[in-house]
This record gives sequence, C-alpha cells and structure tokens, in this order.
Amino acid sequence: MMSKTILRKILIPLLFTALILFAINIQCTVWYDLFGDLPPIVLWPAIFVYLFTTREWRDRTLWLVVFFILLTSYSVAIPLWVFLSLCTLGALIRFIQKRFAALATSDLVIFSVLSVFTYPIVYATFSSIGAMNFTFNLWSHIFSTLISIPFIPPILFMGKKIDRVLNIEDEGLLFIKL
Amino acid sequence: MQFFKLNLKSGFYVFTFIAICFLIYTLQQERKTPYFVLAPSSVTIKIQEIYKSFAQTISTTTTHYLQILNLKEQLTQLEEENQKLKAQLQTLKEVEIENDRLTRITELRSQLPHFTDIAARISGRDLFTDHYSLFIDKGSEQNIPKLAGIITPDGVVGYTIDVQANSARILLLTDRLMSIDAVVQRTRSRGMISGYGKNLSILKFLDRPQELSIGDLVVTSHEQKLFPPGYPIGQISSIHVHPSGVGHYAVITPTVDAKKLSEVLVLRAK
Repeated sequence: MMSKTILRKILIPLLFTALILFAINIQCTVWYDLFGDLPPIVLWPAIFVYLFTTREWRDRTLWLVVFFILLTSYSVAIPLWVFLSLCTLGALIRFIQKRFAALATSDLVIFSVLSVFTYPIVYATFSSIGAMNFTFNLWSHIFSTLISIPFIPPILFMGKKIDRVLNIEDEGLLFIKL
Repeated sequence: MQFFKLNLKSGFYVFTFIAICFLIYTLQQERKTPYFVLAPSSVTIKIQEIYKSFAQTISTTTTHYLQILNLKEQLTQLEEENQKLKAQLQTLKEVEIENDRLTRITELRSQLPHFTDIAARISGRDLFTDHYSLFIDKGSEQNIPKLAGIITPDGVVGYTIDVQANSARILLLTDRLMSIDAVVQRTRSRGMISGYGKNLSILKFLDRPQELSIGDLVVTSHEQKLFPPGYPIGQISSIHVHPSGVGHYAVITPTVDAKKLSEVLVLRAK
C-alpha cells in the first residue's frame, strides 16, 4: 500500500515531467539540429491535454504550474502571458470535455491537435496587448499543427502507458466521470 | 656384288640425294633458310597467324567475359567506395567551412581591443515560434554575464538575457522584446532596434527619417556598451510612417541570418 502511494506521489509526476521535457527538447533542440528553420513539431500540448483530462483539480493546478515553469525556462516569452494562456487553454479543455463528456483516445487526439493550434493564438492574443511590433506566424503554426498530428497519438500512448503500468488510470477516469 | 651394279636411274637418285645434302649443308653454313623450306614456311606462318589470331580472339573474348563477370562485383565495390569518398568529401567540406568560420571569428577577436570574447556554439532555440531566442553551450561557469553582446564576423546577433551554469539564452535582433541603440551609418540618424518577426527588425523612434534611403547600413551606436561602436546590425529595406501618424520607423534586414548560425562570440567589456 505504501509503495503504491509512493509510486503515485513521486514516480508518476517524475515520469510525466520527463515526458514533458522530452517533448520540449524534441521541439527546441533535436528538430532544430535536424531540420533547421522548418517549423517544429509541438507535442507538449498533448501531454497538457492528457493531464488536464485525467487528473483531479489539485493535480491539474500543480501541472499548470509545472508547465508554466518549464515553458518559460525554454522561451523568452512573457511569463504573465504564458501563464494566462495556459490557464485559458486549461479552461477551454475542461469546458469542452464537460460539454461533450469526451474521454476516448480519439477525443484526446482531437483536443491535443486543437490545443497545438490554439495555444499560440491565445498567447498571441494576450501578448498583442500594448505591443507595437506584434508578430504572429500563422502559416508556421498551421504547418506545426499539421506535422505534429502523427506524433500526438504516440505521446498520448506514452502518457496512458505510464498511468496503466502504475495502475491508476481507471481511478482517474472514474473521478472525471463523477 | 649386285649392290655395286649401279644403273643410271639409281645413280641419278644417289646423286640427287647427295646434292640435296650438300645444298642443305652449304645453306646451313651460310645461316640461310633453305628456299624449299622458306616457301612453305611463309604459308604456314600465315596459317599460324590466322590460328594465333583466332586463338587470341578466343582468349581475349574469354578474358573479357571473365572480366565482365568480375566487373559487376568491382562496380559494386567502387560504388560503395565512391559513396564513402563522397561522404568523406562532404565531411571535409563541412570542416573547411567550419574552419573558415572559426578563422573569421579569430580574426575578429584581434579587432575588438575593448572586449574579451568567448566563442560558443548554438544548442537550441525558442519554444515558441513567435519568439526568437537561441541557447548557447556556455554559461556563468565560463564567465558569461547577463546582457553580454553576441556577435559574429557579419554583425550583431543579440545579447544574453538569462545565464545558467553551462548555458545561456540569447535574445535575437528579430524578437519583439529586443532593444538596442543604433545609428544609420550614412546619416547618423539615431533610433532603437527592435524585433519584427522572421528575419526582420525595425528601427523605431527615428530622428531625421527624411534623410534615410533604402539600403543604408544601420550600426551600433557609441552610447551603448554591449557591442563595439559602429558594428553592423542590418540594412534598411523599407521606411514607414508609424500607424499612429507620429514618427517613422524603418524595417531592417539583419546582416546576420540567425537560422544559419552555428558559432557566436560572446562579448564582455574589459
């Protein structure tokens, strides 16, 4: 019993943090080395979606903070706008999930693809406030979203696998249903 | 005694035999081929030549056939070797290009008497597509401070905004959060450089904009301390009136293409 608690409290967050870092580094470093200036695959929103749809509100809040810290450490983006964008994205995911009671894997994939495309728009909307030379690359985002699609299911699978191996997935889903 | 009873016919035969023997002996002494040998041998040589030619043709054909059999194998080997050599050549070209870059950086060092510099490699880039920053593989352990100028032999790249132990983040000229004091080299019009998205910057708060023309070189001013004064930033590609109607701004194409960067120099004032 004790060991299961330890797994739940320590190992799962660590594994998910590693997964987030993996997704971010693929985008920032590996993609840059391999494909240069080609718009990169964006995979972290898929993990964000997975965690936001399968966790209770306390965990969601903690993951929101973790995402905020990790994203701002890999970008020069304005921290306040990053945080507000993450909150908005989380709220949107929860709203759609509650509205359509969506929990299937295909739903998560659709949510993830939408999040990959929506997050930069939300961030751009916030950061355009008072900005003189506001920049937004719509075509880059569309391209990033399209090439991210094949990679999103494996990332979601990895997230599910982490939960399944540690046997908490059903409990998480039960909580959402309740 | 019957043996010695020679008639004319037998005598002729004996005489002819002896005469031929003498003839052969005489010709042999003179080292000449006998005519009666010479005449048929010229024919046999011809025949021999024909046979030889035939044999050579067969031999050559067989050799060629065997060579063709080996040729395919050799071709495969040569193709593999060729591929390896091409790869080596490509690597050598890459090394040559890198060597050129590093030589230019080394030459640049001697031209910066008021700065100490540290060479660094690019290790990653910004997470968000709408922001333009790079990570380098040197940090505070290599004495890189915050707000250190980053240059290449072609011009200004940006400056460090966040320094970790073994890495630092560079804000690029093209990021909208960037600001550097700059002047137009020809007219000495001052302004502030800021990012304008992909591969572009703007020179805002311009004074005397009417004197500017497209193609003018924008350089670092004497007022800032991050870069050597007069160091190239970019060229004016267009001039616009601010949307508010007050003031002008010029769109700048930076001299350094951040997409192609591999190594940079981090400057520190002495």
